Amino acid sequence: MQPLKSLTVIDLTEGNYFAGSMFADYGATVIKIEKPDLGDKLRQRGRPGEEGRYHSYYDRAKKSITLDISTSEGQEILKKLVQNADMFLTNISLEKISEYDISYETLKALKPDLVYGLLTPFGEEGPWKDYPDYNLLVMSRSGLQENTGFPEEPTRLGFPLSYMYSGWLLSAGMLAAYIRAKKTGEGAKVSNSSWHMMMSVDDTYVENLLGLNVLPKRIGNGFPTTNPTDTFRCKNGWFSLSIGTDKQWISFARECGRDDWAEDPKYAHDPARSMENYFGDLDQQLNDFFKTITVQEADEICRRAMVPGGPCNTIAELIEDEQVASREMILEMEDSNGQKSLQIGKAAKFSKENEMDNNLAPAPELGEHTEEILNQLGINQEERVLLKKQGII
Amino acid sequence: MPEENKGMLCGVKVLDFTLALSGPFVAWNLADWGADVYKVERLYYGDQARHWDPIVNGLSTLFVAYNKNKKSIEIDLSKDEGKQIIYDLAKECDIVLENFKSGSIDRLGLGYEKLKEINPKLVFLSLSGFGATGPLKPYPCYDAIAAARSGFASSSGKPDGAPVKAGNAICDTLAGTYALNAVLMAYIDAQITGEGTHIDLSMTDVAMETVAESLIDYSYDQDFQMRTGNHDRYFAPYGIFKAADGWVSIIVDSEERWAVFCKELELASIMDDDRFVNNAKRLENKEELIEIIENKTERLSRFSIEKKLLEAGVPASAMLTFIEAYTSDHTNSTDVLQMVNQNNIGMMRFYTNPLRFNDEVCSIRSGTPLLGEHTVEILEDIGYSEENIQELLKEDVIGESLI
Repeated sequence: MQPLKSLTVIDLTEGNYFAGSMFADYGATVIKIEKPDLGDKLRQRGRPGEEGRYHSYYDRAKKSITLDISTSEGQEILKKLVQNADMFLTNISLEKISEYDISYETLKALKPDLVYGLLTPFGEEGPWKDYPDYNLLVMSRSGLQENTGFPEEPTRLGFPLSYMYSGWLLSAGMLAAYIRAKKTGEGAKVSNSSWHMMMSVDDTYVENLLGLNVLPKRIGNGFPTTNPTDTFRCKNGWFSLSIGTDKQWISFARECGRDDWAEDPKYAHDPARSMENYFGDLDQQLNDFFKTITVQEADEICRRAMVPGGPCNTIAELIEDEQVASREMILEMEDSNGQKSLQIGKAAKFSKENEMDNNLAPAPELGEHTEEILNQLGINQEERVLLKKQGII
Repeated sequence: MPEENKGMLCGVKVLDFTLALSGPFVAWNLADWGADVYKVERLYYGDQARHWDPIVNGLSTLFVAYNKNKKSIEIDLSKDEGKQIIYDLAKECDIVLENFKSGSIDRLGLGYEKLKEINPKLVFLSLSGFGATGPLKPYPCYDAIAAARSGFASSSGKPDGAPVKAGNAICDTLAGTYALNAVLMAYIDAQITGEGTHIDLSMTDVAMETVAESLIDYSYDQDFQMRTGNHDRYFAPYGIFKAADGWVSIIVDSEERWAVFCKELELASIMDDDRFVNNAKRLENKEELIEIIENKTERLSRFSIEKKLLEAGVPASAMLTFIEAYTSDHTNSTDVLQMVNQNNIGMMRFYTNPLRFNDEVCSIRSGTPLLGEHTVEILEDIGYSEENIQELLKEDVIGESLI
């Protein structure tokens, strides 16, 4: 099923692909506007000399046109593109939006039912609004970064979490606005800030501050209210255990052959089995126990006990994993240059699915669709040659 | 008086069976964006999350945070009359959400196959830890396990240290965020084709997005390095550095910025050092570089480093603790927080929905409902007579526990 196949999105984003990819993966025509020389900086990401490998994933199923929107001709073409689309998506700075005259007000005047999506790092108001847009800086200002990792020092998450979240919430909000635009003929501006997103999904706020009147603590792989939740080193790798109830704990203890854990009143109940005890001798006992078994044995114990537990998989395990295979979460794709790569699959599984759904077009070469799309807009070849000569496309 | 509903999804009706966190997060966003959400809850007990610590005035603060703007209808789904209510509601609704243990809703006779006979346009989301297929389907999954199995945890931390999950239950809400997209795109499709669909979405599948780059690396190199500690893999210096009073994030992603960075931090002596002369060299000698920089930053405060670098055009930020972020000038001068009048508790300060539609905050039309608060109202709306409703109450098919 390609639920968005009737949708056209003009994607003027830089360095943040999540919203555009959500649309493209599910069938929308996503036309990415890139700078004539280098394109989106995502194309440059990679080891020196090997840049561009990730672009094959970030930009799959999208179209690429090059356009210098700092020129008035470029802005005119962008406006024409928007008039022929359903949605416009951008994360360029507020300053540039005003400089290029592509605010929501301007574009709405040209197309009243336009859905205009804007992604900012810190919102459109307040003292931080013009701060640089980097995931690491958004995370640093959110509190979650400081709160992630072991007590000794915070841990940086190894992927752009704030962008992932805010991009996906924005795309969902844009779909909501599109639903309304279809009913009423009236479009909307939808905006999201990556920082606000990270603040609002921090459930430790409601747990700790609103509920317990204490501040959240950095507790490694633990969890403030249910225990034991932690990651343990087994003979051959790392294993994660997450006990949610007393019943699960007792079931787990029995499957481990450790009736003493199940019966000792010190451990039998949360909150007695809570952080204080947990990081005391129970933690040590669990660490000692897991050291003696393999990840596979730990997994078996958890399955028999029906408690949440699982190995900390790496790519090596994921590519062999039966669950991953049955979910089609790793797809073998071919880039436009014929290079094969493994890519993350599409998480939404529709019952109306058909076998063509995973046939996603390879990521485009920079400007691959410039000619085709400008032609569709009625810009003839002569004009295109001139635009090219001027460096606008 | 409840505020007027001007939301984008005004008129969209959602039948919501979800429990705990990920599903209620989906329903809560739909409600914030204007949909009518009927939260179906177990008779006399309700959503298990109503009983989660911490509890204030009899209400779980976690539960209260994720169930605003919804209506609660309390039903015994094991009784035929209870099921009949669901069939009647399904006729009126556009979207169904559930996250029971895999297959439970089918056994209750309320699964997609059954409800689609009543309303073929229904979009029906099943959200679970591992999905409705595969060998892990029957097993329980929490946030930390989705983080482990998906590779999320293996992607963070020191190369020789333990994998690290996020400091809160990220996988739940990340899956919920993805699910919102799936539900709304299927709704759009149903409007066009007249035919709904079932969506099978798993938290672990969604969390796999975090290993996208490592997977590409593996395809090209037959090798991968999933976690690189607190520093970026392609630029140096780019990461988290020790300061006198905490940590500071610094990003040097161009040669121009390297020169400025060295000048501002008075590190001129290393600027042209052979080991650090360009990004490739700096990456190669990253550990030495970090040590030299931290020798300097350790003696300065987070905020003085941030100020110096930002003013000179080098992206940087002091790392804020939760309470510093929560009480920052930026928080106080924007509309990220809002007071909500919550039944049984009174005024509480919550985050607003991060989305702005036409620059307006999503309104909180009502706080989180008490169990069964809207049972009667909803049944009246779909045409149940008062007599009929009284009968159902008496026979313990429906409830108004108000807890």
